[in-house]
Amino acid sequence: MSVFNRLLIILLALVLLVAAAAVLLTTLRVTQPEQLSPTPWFVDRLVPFTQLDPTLWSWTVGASIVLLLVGLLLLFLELRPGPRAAPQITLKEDGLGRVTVTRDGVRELADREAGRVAGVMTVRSQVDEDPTGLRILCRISVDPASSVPEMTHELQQRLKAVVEHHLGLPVAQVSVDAQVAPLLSDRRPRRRVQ
Amino acid sequence: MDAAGAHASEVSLARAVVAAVRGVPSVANLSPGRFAEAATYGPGERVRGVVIHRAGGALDIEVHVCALYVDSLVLPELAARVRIAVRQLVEGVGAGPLGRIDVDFDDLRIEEEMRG
Repeated sequence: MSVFNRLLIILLALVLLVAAAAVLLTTLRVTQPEQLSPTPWFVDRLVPFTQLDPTLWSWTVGASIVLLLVGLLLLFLELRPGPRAAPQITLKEDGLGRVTVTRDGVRELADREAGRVAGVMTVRSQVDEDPTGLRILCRISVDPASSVPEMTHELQQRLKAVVEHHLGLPVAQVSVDAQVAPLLSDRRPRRRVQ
Repeated sequence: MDAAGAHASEVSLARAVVAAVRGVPSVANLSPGRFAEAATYGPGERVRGVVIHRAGGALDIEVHVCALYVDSLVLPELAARVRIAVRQLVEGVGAGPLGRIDVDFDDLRIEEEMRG
């Protein structure tokens, strides 16, 4: 949603809140219309709510409360902090500008390359960045018939080479967290290779 | 130039940038932005994938790209090719002095996905 639309909804929610609160306070006779309103125009709009018959009074109180809640909900939805933007990884920044890639993109790249290693069944990678370079944690489920040490070694070499090649950034560490398939029924301890 | 005219020229330039960047090998397409909409807005239209700012007379251009993932892909080199394409275009149309060109790779698209 654009900033303009968001501001418009916040403004409308505030107007709704003020109007609903004024009508509710007037209808419940908590305050007089003159005390609530700075302008005669608004006082004229509120005065009829001081002379409601019992049925209309109940409806007005109910509707005001609903509108008040709707206004609060809209305001809450618009003012709450948005989802945290998934971070990007900066590949290069100089006087000409900046080059970035999304962390999700790098993760997908790592997943894809890890999936190409024979014996890897499923992959879930995580990519972090620190001053020494990228740190990749690759969680894999593996074919029970394959050799985990050999596979993880190949995976580490491959991921490091491929990610460095595609991104032009150093890969400081590739950790592999391997679990023999099937993941759900297998209770054997996982082997982690650093 | 009035505000409407400036917006119109920025939108035209953004459209031309989209066309130029699409022509760069290994660019699958432009991305509308992954976390927030990246677009240039004009009267009644928007061009997604390119954001143009005028800062102190210079044009700063932000290009959001989906790269085509192939084994030979090297993102910094692709970014350099995208920058060259944008620079040549801006200089060719005489759109004014060029400031920064930021290239954001929002997505890596795999060839099989393209065919599918």
